[in-house]
Amino acid sequence: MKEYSCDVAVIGGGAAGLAAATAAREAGAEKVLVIERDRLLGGILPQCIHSGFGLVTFKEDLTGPEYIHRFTTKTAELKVEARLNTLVLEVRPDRRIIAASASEGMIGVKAGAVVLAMGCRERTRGALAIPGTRPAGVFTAGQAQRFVNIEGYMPGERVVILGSGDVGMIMARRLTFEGAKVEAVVEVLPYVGGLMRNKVQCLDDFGIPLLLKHTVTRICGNQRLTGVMVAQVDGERRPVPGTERLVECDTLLLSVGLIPENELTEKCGIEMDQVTGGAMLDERMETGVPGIFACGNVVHVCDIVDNVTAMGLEAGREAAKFASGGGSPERDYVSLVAGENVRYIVPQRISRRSLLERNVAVHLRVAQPGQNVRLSIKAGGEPVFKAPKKAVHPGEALIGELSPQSAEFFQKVGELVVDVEPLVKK
Amino acid sequence: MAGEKRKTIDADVVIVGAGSVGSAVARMVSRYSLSSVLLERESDVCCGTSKANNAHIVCGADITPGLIETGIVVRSNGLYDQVTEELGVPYRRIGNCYAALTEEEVKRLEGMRDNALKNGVNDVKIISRDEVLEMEPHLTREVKAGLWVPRDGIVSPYSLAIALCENAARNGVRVLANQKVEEIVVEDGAVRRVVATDVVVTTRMVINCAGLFADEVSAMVGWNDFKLHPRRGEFFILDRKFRHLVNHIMYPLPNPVSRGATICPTIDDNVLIGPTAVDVTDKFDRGTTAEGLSQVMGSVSKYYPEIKPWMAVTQYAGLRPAGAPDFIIGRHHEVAGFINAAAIRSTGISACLGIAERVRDLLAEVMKLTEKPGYEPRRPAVRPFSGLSLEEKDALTAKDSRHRKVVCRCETVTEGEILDAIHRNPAASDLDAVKRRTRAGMGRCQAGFCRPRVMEILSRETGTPMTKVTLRGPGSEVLTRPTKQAAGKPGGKS
Repeated sequence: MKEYSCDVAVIGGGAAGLAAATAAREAGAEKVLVIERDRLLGGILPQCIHSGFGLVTFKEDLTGPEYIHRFTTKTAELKVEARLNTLVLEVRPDRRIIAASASEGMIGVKAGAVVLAMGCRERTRGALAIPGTRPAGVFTAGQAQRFVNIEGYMPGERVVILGSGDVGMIMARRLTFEGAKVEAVVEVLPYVGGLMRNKVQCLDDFGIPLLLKHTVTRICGNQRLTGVMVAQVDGERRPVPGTERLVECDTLLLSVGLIPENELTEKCGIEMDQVTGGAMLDERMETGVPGIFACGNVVHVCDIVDNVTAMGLEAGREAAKFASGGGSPERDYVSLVAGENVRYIVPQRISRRSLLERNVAVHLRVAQPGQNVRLSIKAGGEPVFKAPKKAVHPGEALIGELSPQSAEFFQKVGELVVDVEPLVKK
Repeated sequence: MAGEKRKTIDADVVIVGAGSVGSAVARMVSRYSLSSVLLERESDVCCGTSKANNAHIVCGADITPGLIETGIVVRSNGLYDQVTEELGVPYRRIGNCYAALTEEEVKRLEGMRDNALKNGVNDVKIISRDEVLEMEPHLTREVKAGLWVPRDGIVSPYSLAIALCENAARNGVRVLANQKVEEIVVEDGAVRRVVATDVVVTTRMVINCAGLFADEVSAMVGWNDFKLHPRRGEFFILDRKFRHLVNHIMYPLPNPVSRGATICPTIDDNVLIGPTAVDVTDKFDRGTTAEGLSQVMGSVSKYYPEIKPWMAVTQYAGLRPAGAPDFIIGRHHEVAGFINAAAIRSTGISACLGIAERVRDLLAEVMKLTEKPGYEPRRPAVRPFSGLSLEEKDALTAKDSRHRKVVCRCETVTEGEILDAIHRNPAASDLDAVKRRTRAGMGRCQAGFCRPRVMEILSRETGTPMTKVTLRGPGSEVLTRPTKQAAGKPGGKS
């Protein structure tokens, strides 16, 4: 078994991993290695041929391939080593990595620091327990996107899409362009799951019906899908009897959520956040295991790639510092607590020292949509950050930034409570 | 067109149906100097009742004494250790415990124990609450006592049937998939030939192992005094993450209709829960239902409160034959050359080895059975890459580059394993067949990532265009056409 060593090893060559790799090199790490299981770099972006990427990072409207090209160009310039077709089987707490490489067989890598950037996978039919048969023609939206945009094949001709996540809505438009008929996008919630701009640009502009408060109650057909039963749901998301109807179709796409891909993380014994499905992190993107960092969708499912990139840059810089002998600073943390209408917060803890010394960005997701609200972060009841928001939506991340506070103030604080509360109290 | 130009072949014995029973019978027949053909209507072996069940190999503790079924199940159980060892099929006798939750149920345990003793299953015993909880720490604290059946075990039913077929094929049986039997021609009181989708087999012996369709095949030769209907059972498979929740096969106490919903580990270290038992009419509708799934979940969570629906990676339904009070195994009284192994109910995978012996005895009454020189009872074990130690993985990838590329990452299945599945006999020719042999696509992402790669390998190895690669045989093509751009390219895809 061949053994390698490097300063920073990045697991996953998508948006997060490539940002981490460039940042690590620029922060002085000599040898940076990106380990990618697929046959090309970029993660999901090469198949996202629609535009809308990079509005924050580059102040430009780019397609997915264009966005990631900027990073692959940069990693090549910086002489980041990329190993493709290489699947990591194990990450050990001592930062040793075991992988299967298509060209070399089993390899071992000893890394000064590790950045986990494995991204996420799509929730499947099984996780939802949709009743019915198991015919051909049922795809996750991202899988269908890969077939169309990378492999060059159509998954079907008459399509129903369950879930109004971004990939689902984008695929509704893409399949329409390719001559398929999208019968409906079916969403169990009373609001769309993805970005509003995608609802307008992908569904409304093409006259594709969006059925809110509806779900698929049965999948029909023995060999190939012949149709799905669609029904209205009540407030508890249960199908309303008598509202069921058959929608004939040969294809069902599922856009019903993404799950951070953390099997390696869990196997390594890293402490997890049950709500995000990712590792518990501090503001330096370090996990509970020293020298192992995480960024991007493996931490929590981000709404836009710019946020993935930002996390990657932070994780890469910090990993480089750790690898150069900096180690982890003292672990004296203030934890962040999800308060009113907050589903989760990343990072989950911030070191007292950082709170005193620098700005710290906090990402969060709301539990329910709301209008005219205020994002506030409080310490011992006292607001340390507040920002009014015209509208908040579970599909879109909110970002708050804490500025340095007086040492005296933070010595007393054990936790910070994050709320998204109505501006006018009832 | 199928059927218009049927090829005629000749065989001493035709076995109809390649489920557990047909596969075990085929392997048994392959011991002897007989030519034989195994006809399967689906695209692969083990696609019916034998595929979708609870995967238990039972020892016969709870079956009604005195049935033909009972004797065969008890006898069959004793054959499993040797046969699974010969075929390299993983099999574990992990034992089965019936959990009694009420005093009334505790009283019933003695009757259940006595039933087992009547069947010759002598090692069952009633165990205390503490013993049950020590075995099963995640079981409800409300358990009062249990009946312990140590000889019950678990197997992968399709791994077993595939191995039986591969070994039968190795010993000369021709296994033909996509061959639905349309007609059995009887002349002068004897079977003459079997007409199937693409072949006509001239023969003097037909063994009916057609599972759910055994009544229809039997009726083709006029033996029509029984009728089978499907009984649906619905199941959940949970993520391997939750394997620690259960150690043994755990059952509620049985009710008059069904043994009830079990929870147990699978041989691949997932958790299986189910089934329901609902009589239905459509022999082709293998769909799950909202009611069935919620019934299974409700019933099992009463015993294991930690079990939740979101832990599932998939659900499935199986149809088992019902409608006959016992197995129907015997020769036709009027037509020479027809043997039924029919009405094999939910104990089919447990009974298949015993049924094969019984069929052999019936054959011996009318045919001279001589052992075939060179009969090879062993099939080399298929060792999954994922189960190898790091040293073994290193050694294997060093010498065989096909195993360096991991195609299915949830289950760590290599390209080499997929190639082996495609090139063994009988061959895996579609995605489900590859999945059953390698587990590619069986993990938590349910083929989300590996499907395009497995399709590409199947397409390349079998010379099938991507748009003709199927999930499970004709009519289940996965892709419909090339995209506009792909089609517009010179030499575009097809």
